[in-house]
Formats: sequence, structure tokens, C-alpha cells
Amino acid sequence: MQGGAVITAEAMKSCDREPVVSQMPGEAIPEGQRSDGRYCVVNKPVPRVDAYEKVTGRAKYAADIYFPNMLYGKVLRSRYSHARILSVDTSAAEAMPGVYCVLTAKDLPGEQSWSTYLFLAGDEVRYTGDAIAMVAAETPQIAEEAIRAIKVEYEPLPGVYSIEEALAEGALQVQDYAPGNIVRNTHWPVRKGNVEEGFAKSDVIIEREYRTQYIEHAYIEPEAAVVVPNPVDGSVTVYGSLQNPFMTRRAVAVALGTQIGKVHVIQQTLGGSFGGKEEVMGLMCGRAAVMAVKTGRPVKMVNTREESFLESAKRHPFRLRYKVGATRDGKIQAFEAELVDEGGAYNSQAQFMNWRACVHTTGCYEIPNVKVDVYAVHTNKVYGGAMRGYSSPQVIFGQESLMDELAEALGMDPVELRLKNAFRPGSVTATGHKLEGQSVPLVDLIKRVLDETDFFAVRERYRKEREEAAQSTGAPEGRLRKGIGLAASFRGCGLGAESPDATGAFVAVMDDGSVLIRSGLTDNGQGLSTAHAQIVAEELGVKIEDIVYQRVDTSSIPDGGMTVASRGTFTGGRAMLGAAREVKKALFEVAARMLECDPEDLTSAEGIIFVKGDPSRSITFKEVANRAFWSGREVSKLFWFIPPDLPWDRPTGQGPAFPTYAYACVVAEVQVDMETGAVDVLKVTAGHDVGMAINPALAKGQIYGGIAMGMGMAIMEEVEFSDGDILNPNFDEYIIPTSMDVPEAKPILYESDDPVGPFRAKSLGEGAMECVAAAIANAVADATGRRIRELPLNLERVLLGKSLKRGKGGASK
Amino acid sequence: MKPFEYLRASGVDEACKTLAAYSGTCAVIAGGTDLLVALRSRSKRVEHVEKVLDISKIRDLDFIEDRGNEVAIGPLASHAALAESRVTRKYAPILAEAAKTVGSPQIRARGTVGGNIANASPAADTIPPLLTLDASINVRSTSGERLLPLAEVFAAPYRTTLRPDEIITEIVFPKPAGRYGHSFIKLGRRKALSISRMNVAALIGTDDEGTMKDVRIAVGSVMPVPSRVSAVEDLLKGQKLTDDLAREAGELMSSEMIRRSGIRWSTEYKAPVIKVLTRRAIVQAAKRAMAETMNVS
Amino acid sequence: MDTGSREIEVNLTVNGKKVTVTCPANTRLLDLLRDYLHLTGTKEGCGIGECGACTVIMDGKAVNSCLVLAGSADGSEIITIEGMEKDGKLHPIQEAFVRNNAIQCGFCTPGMVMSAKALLDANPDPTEEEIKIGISGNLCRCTGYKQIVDAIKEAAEVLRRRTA
Repeated sequence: MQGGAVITAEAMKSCDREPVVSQMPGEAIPEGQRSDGRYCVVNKPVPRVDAYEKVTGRAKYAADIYFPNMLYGKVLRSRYSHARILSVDTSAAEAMPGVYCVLTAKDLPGEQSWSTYLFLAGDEVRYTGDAIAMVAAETPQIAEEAIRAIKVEYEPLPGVYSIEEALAEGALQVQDYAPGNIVRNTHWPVRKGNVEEGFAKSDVIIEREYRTQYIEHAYIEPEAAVVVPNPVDGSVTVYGSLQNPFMTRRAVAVALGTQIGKVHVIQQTLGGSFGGKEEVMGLMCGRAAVMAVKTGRPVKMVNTREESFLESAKRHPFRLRYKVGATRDGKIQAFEAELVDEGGAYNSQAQFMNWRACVHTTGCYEIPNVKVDVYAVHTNKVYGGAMRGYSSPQVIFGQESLMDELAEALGMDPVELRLKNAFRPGSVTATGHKLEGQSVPLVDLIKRVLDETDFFAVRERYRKEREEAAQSTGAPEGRLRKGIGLAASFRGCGLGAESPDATGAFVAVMDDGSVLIRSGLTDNGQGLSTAHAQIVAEELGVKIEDIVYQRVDTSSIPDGGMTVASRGTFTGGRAMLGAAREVKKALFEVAARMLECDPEDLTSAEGIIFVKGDPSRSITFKEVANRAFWSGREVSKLFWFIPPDLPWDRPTGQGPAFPTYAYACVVAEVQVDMETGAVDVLKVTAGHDVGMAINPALAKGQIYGGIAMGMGMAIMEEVEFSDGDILNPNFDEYIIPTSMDVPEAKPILYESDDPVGPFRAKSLGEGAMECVAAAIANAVADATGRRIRELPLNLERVLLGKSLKRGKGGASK
Repeated sequence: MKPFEYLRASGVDEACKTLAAYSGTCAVIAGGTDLLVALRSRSKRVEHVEKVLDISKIRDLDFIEDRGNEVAIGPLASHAALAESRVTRKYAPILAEAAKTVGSPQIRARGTVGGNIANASPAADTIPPLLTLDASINVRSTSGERLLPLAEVFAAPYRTTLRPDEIITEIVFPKPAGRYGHSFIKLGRRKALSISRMNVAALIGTDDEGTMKDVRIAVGSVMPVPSRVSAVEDLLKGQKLTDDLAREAGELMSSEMIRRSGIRWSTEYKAPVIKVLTRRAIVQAAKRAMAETMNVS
Repeated sequence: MDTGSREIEVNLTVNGKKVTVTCPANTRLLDLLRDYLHLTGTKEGCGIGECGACTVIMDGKAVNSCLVLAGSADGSEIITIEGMEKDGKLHPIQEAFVRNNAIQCGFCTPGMVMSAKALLDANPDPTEEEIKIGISGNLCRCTGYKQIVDAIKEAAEVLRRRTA
């Protein structure tokens, strides 16, 4: 049968179905150009698939869901960061009209804790986010009043509030199972070569210490969930603002003491997460589920912003100690580091992020002798957790500041020092990974960013302006100093050797020609659904409008791990591609019979399947789909992608850590008011080795957002504590950049030819923010002539070189 | 949100009667940008509040008027109105400029100048400019009306000298006549939605030769309450401004701050920086005075 | 004299429709829109007027609906994000947001769109600086604002051409 399909001239013009011509690694291709004539859907800035629902306000976030008969849950949290609970009196709350349940630890049907976090604390609270009791009531107001009516008798205990206090001889132990307050399983060493020999060879050796701060994710959507019980079989359905629905499913099963399969989790549109909506959501959903089962009614919980600050994970603060040595010619000979992060009261993910930290400690430089030790400590503060970059932004701040300081000690240009030691194809990383069979375009990327920013000329101009300004007096503008700084990084793509990186994707062709896709990974707002839709549309040769994306539903797709480590496109995309390929194969077999040709002769574009070189022999995708379905063919596929094993030797920290790496180079320009300490970030140019951008508009969106978040980390953001109490739990005092604060931002999408990812794509989401704070800090040091080794570079630090803090236990070291 | 009863007044007399009846348990709400934040967090400041009296619908209280030698502003005038009004921009640009720095467009649309005064935040941005304008406020209660200088309104952070049954009906100040220049400098941690770390308002009148005849300087988040600093004003009065004098004025401001506020956790930063902000404000105001002439028309 | 009550009746116009709501006195306009009218496009991000996710247009001005008591909105005309689409057609501001990839997680988007509308209604030809000021009360953690500013610039042009 001959198809009546007409291939539009457009379709023929816009797509050349020939395989991609391989480019030399490291060759910079201006964005967009490379896709011309090569791809129909990927590498194009197609609008997001969820744009319409979001711009109209129709998208349903978890807090937007209402059920008849729904109750509102609320939690009572500890007044102290460390205390024994002597008694809890819930009688007044229980007696209030409209209150349906008031529960304490003794009432929990399942486990009291999940991982190490407590659904409800029983006899001891270890930080101010610990929950002691919870209520479900007719309205949020009644729930709030009921919480206030619960009386708790505490015996306040002394606490541990800093890395130094945690490590002090005879320090109080925050968790029984963590002697010396070292967070379980968080020590990750790296041993390469012999640092003693390396230092002996070095002409210049410097030792430095840097520190970073507690940072809040500050997604604009506070955590929310609704749990609906099914009284027939005891199962529950959970709707939530979830970054990792499968992780939440496990937590809920633990809280209820039920089988995992009885917990059905449906992800709602997610209002930002950045690594944040993980543990806190497991706890919230677990609690709501317990109350839902107890009352037999749907229970909704929505955190206030303050509650979100109290209980959600934070970016771990790091103490970064280094000793680095180089020969006169700028070759780094030895690098020794001790990185300690503050994990707070509970588990904290430090066991994973410290692994990533150990891999990236020495930066994107080839160094023969390396000794690294990373470990985390417990304190009576909110727990650390995943946050965009997963330890890299902290580690890069220290290590890239150190590079500038080493250059200064050597009397060498910091750019030259970097180029001299930068990874090249064939370089061996600190973990002994020889960079072969992957693109390593770092040197060219740095050069490209230097060119784009006119780096050396601008640096010279600012230097001259500073000299002139120093001579003029009086006028306030004479006290303004400009500076420019650079930072570079590499970032392992995906989870690497940290944990299993396998994931699944489901692609199903419907008999009307539409294509349903499902992933176990989530769209957190970054646009993963769009990237996945583009990958599948490209592979099948259909229009993006033909793709129907369904959000994660734990009962409809297997657990494909967490949406972390910028693996959504990089790893999840490969599963999508695999599923699409298999479906395509089945469809082409059907089409070949219809067009009386070999399946190998066929290709497809824009919803039309046709014979290569003879587009007059064609048929629509829809007709083929319909025929395939009615002839009983399997045209849906669950594809499971398993990346190759990456061996890791823990005692020495040696092994190929990641399948490939993405590189970045960021230049920041700042202006500093020398009399007030105010830093104005003028411009940030961010060059990112994206492999290939699946969607350039979305990729740029990641970079713009990364710049803003990195800038917040650099100059304004810090969760402040007084003996473990968070002093700034809302956006009036925890400040993030506004539209007025963000600098001029210039993204460079640098394409490189990497064989690993789907359509050569590398990870970007986290890389987009990881260098920014380091580049800004280097620019501030250039402007002021003074190095500040602790973030953020706020008014006080820039003017006085130290922070001033209100409250107790907050004194800066 | 703390539970409360809602009352609404459609006129000033009605509002006064209501306040008299529920004196001590009733809070007044206008724009709500401060009160609702306090009620939501159940701040100690609103512990006594059982009722909320909404005066936002009293049209008579929303105005900005040119009254010949005076400017009169209704307490319900929003920050946006202060920033945009022809009258304030002409006769009190220092106030218009300060109003523009408050919060965000949404906050400026709702937040009112009367609320800013009644809330008595030490960091309020409109208060130092009003102090330099020698503003007074009219307050009314069932027992009558009184006019009091704004400088006498602030008792402590978030506490005024107004009685709980009194309502602000008007803010008035004389138009600065002659050659005046102004400066409002706000130091915050970001460029919008920013709480003043410190602010300085300077209004300086000079003669044609540049001798400072009238010097009015007020600061926020520096002294225990927003206030004029007469020691600094006196230092400058009758002088022509020089770099050294401006610097000296800054030093004096800094020592006045320590004298009046004592040494606090933030002093190590504020002491050097208030010198700078004061110096900059004085220099800018004096320069502007020489560059332009403000006339009463 | 009003003697006060814990329950109040509020009459207002929302997206052109007159509505009457009876609610507790401490209900905010935000709660009224979400919990009573189920207009959930208006979001709550902070509850203290800092994030702007709850921005709606009240009598022509962008306000934080978390800082407006339901009672204070009595007699007012409110436009929410749900009132932007007309006859199934996106408002030019919404179209520009889609075209410019000005949306990521989307949680700030409705408030952003409302602030943009209030800005362009008052100032059809804003400078880039004025656009930034116009949305300075709307926090966004995803986008870095760049593509949002671009979108508003483009929308302003489209709207100007339409009225020209």
C-alpha cells in the first residue's frame, strides 16, 4: 500500500537523516549552527512541553490539590536544638472541636525513623526541626491552634554547633552511632603518587583554609503533599512536591509499616527543588500518610516558609584545608587536602556527596601527587543534604581561590597557571582515571571564554582604573574598585561510581500516532520532560506535539533511582533513546511491509516514514502505528539502561569515577565599594561544555539560573544560627538575588564531540552554578587586593575581613 | 495567622469610637504590609490584639496636598503615591526618593506612610526623610485632636508615644523655602526587597555662596529610634562644606551613634560605615543645593 | 459602629465575576482565592510579601495577596492569572513567556505575569531597568530573570503594535 503522505519541503529541508559527522574533540561550534540540516527536534529551542499549563496557572502543584473531606496536617517542632523530652500533653489539643487526631512518637504504626531521620522524636530532640507531635484537623487554622495547645516539657541539653566543637576532644556526641561525631561512612580518601616527594620537588608551597556557609535551596514552592487512604486494602496514594518519588515511597512504607507496593506516589508539578525536596518530603509524606490512615480521610500538609527552613536540608558548609606545591615553572607537584563538612543532626547525604567531593577536590588539573581526606561531622543543626552541585560549588570555591593564591605566590598569571596544569585528552585525574574515549575540551574552552570576555585587556583596564582611583580622594566614586576573576571546573556526569546509575524509560506508541513517554526521573522545573520529549521525537521522527509526557507515577514505572547528579538528560535520556529505538524498530518492520521495502531502507521525520532517497514512497507514522496496533505488534517498550560498571578502590580513592566529564569556565566582573563592603556583580560570562545542547533555550535557562544562584552563594546568602536556632527562616532576612541584583549574564554553549551521552549531551544543571561563586570571589580579590577565604562576601566580610553575627554560638572563626 | 475579629470604619469619627471602645485590644490595619506579617508570626508586638480595625476604606485619609506653605499627606497615602506624586517630587524629593526604595512594587502599592510611622520600625525608610522635613503628625481620638512633631513619636523600636485609641489623620511639613539640596542613602544587602542596614537623610539649605544655613540630618537603623542628629547639624551650620568638614561630620555621627546606641554586635561594621554614608549624604545634598533652587510657588 | 466578628462576608469581583464569600476574619485574599474560589494559579511562597508568588492585580495595582485581608478586598476588583487567558487565547504576556523560555518550575510564573501586566498597563514602553523594577518584588530561583525580562520586553512591543 502506498501512503498518501506528503513530505513537506520543510521536512526535507530541515532534516538531513545522515549520521552525524564526527567533529574533532575540543572544536568549538557556535551554538545552533551544528544542528542545521542535522536534527529536526533536538538541539532546537522548542518551547517547553509544560509551558502552557504553567503560564496559565493551570499546572497543579501539590498544594493546589483539594479532596472532599480533606483534613489539614500540622507538626509541632522542637523549641530547642538539643533537649530531652520529659513529657508531652496533647489533651487540650485533642479536645478541640475539628481536631481529628493528635499523634506522638508512641502512636506511630511503623518505624519511628527512616534512614536516620525521625518522623516524630520520642525522648530526645537533636535540632530545632525535629517534630514531636502532629495533628490533623478540619482547617489549617484549627490545626495551627491545636499545635499551640500541645504542652511539651523539655530538659534542655548542651549542644554541638560547629565543626570545631564537633571535633573537640570529649565533645558531646550528637548520635550514638557516630563516635567522634564523624558522620557514618563519610570518609573518602584519595591517594595518588606520593605527596611528600611532590612537596620535596616543589619550589613554592602554600597552605590555606577556606570556609563556606549553610545555604537554603529557596525553591519558591514550599513543600506540600496530600495523602489519600484507601480503606479497602490499606494502601495510600501520595501526591506531593517530590524530587524523588521512589525515595518518598520507601519513606511512606516505613512510616506505615507496610509493603512498598502499597504506596502509590504521584509526582505533582514541582515548584523547584535543586536537591531539596528529598528527605523533607519523605518525612512530610510519611507523617501525612500515618494521619490519613488513622483518620480514614485525605490529609494535606503544606509547609510555611519558616517550617521549610527549619526542616529541609541545606547545602553543607565546608572547612577546606589545603597544602599545595609547585615548581617555579608553574607545574603543580603535590596537592594535599582535608575537607570537612558539617552534616547537622542526621544522616545528611554526606556519605555520597563527600565521594563526589573527593573526586573533584583537586579541580580540573593534572597533578601527580595527591592526598585527599574528606569527612563530615554531626552537629545539633539542621542536616545537610543535596543541593545543586552536590559539594562542588563549595569545593571549587576553595580550590579555585587556592589556584589564584598559588599563582600569586609563584608570581605567575593565574590563567597561565591554570592552562599549564589543565586536563587535556589523555590526562590522568586525581583518582587515576585516564581521560580517553571522551571529549576533554577544557583548554580550548578556557581560551574561548578568555576571548569572549577580552579577559586580559579588561583586567588591565580595571587595574589602571584602580590605580587612578586610589589617587583621587573625596568623591564616593573614587572608592569604587572593579575587578575580574576566573574559575574553571570539571564535573563528573551522572552518578558515576557513587551508586548504581541505571534507570528506565517507557515509550508507548498509541494507535492514533501519539506517543506516551514516562520516566522514573522527574521534571523539577529544569525542563526534563521537554528534553526527553525532544529525544524521543527525534529518534522516532515525529513532531514534538505528538509526544505526551506523563509525570512520575511510582506504580506505572520501575524505580529508576533519583533525579540527581544532573543525570536526567545524561542518563535518563539514554533510557529514553533506547526505548524509542526499540519501538522504532518494530514500527519500521510494519512500515516496510506496507511500503514493500526493507526496514533498513526507511527513515522518518515529522511524522512521516519514507524510503531513504525516495521520499515519494512514504506513509504517515499514524497509519503505521494504527496498523501495528491492530496487528498485535508490541509498540511500547520499557527500556532499562545500565551504564558500564565503574570500579572504585575505596582505601586509595582510585578508579574511573565517571563515564565522562563536563567542563566549565566562568569569568566574573565585579565592582566593590571599598568604604561599605558592598559588592556589585556586573557581569558573568559562563562557558559550558554541554556536549550538545538538547534544547539551547533550556540550556541557557540553566546557565542564567545557575549564575543567579551562584551569585547568591558568593555575596549574600547564609543561613544564620544561634545555638542551632535558625535566625533568618524567611525571605525577608534570608536574601536571594532579585531581578535588580543579577548581573549581565552571557552564556556560551560550547559543543564538544562526546560519545557517551544521548545525542552527545553532557550534564549541565549543576555545572551551571558550580564555578560562579569561585569566579566572583576571585574577582573581588582582584578588585580589593585582599583575599577573603569565607563565603558569603557580604558587607561585613568585605569591609572588615570577618563576619559579624547576632545570636549565640555564631562567632566567625 | 492569629485569630481576630474584623472591624471596618468608613470614617475617622467611627474609627476613633471603635478604638476608644476596644482600646488596648484593637490594632489598626491600613495597607497591612507590617501588621499582617506580625499577626501571621504571632509576634509579641501583637500579643494584645483581639480585633483588627480596617481603615483602608476611609477615603478622607488618602491624599497628598499642596497647602501653600505646607504639604499635607494623608496617612493612607501609599509609598507608590509618595514616590509618584507631583507634590512630593517637587517639594519633598527626599521623601519621594526614599519611598521608591521601600520593598517592591507590590509593597509600595499597599504600604502606607501612616503605617510606616505607626509601625515604628527602626529601619523605616520614609521616616528619616520626614524628620528632615520637620514633619508633624495630627492624631485624633474621641477626646480630641493634637499635633505633635514626628520626632516625638518614636519611643523605642516598634513602639510609639501614641495612645492606643489615637489615629493618625495627617502628616504635615513646611515646604523648604530657598536653595535646598537633599540626599537619601540607603544601604541594604540587595537592591530590591531590601531592609535598610542603615539609612541617612540629609536636607541642606545654603545661601548663594554655599554657606550652609539650614542643616537637617536624620538616620535610620543607627540610633535606637529614627532621629535627627543635632550635634552633626550644628557642626555644619554656618559653614561652607569642605571634604574635611564632611569627613568630620561623619566621624561625629559615628561617635553619636555609639554614645546613643552603645556597642552592639553590629557596631564594628556600622561605626566606620555610618561615617561614610553620612559624609556622602552631606556632600550630595550640599552639591545639589548649589545646583538647584527650590522655590515655594 | 462595627462591633466586629470572627466570620465576615466579602463581596468582590474576581476576573470579571461578582462573588460573595463568607470566611473567618483572619482569612487573607490569597486564602479566599485559593481555598474558597479554588483559583489555585495564585501561589503562596512566603506569606510575608517577600516572594511575590501570590501577586494579583487589585483595583489596577499589583499587590501581594498574602498581605491583603479578605475584608480589605471587599468591593475590589481582582484579576488573577486565571483571568489572563481570553476565549482560549493566551494574553500576549503569556505568549511571550512561552516563546522566550521564561518559565522553569513555573511556581513564580503566575505572579510574574501579573506584575508584568500591572507594569505594562501603567507603562507600555518600559526600559529594561523599569522592567527589572517592575518584577523586583517577584523572586525566581530558577531562571536568573534574564529570559523573563526578555519576554516582558517582547510582550510590551507586541502590545504597543496592537494598540498602534
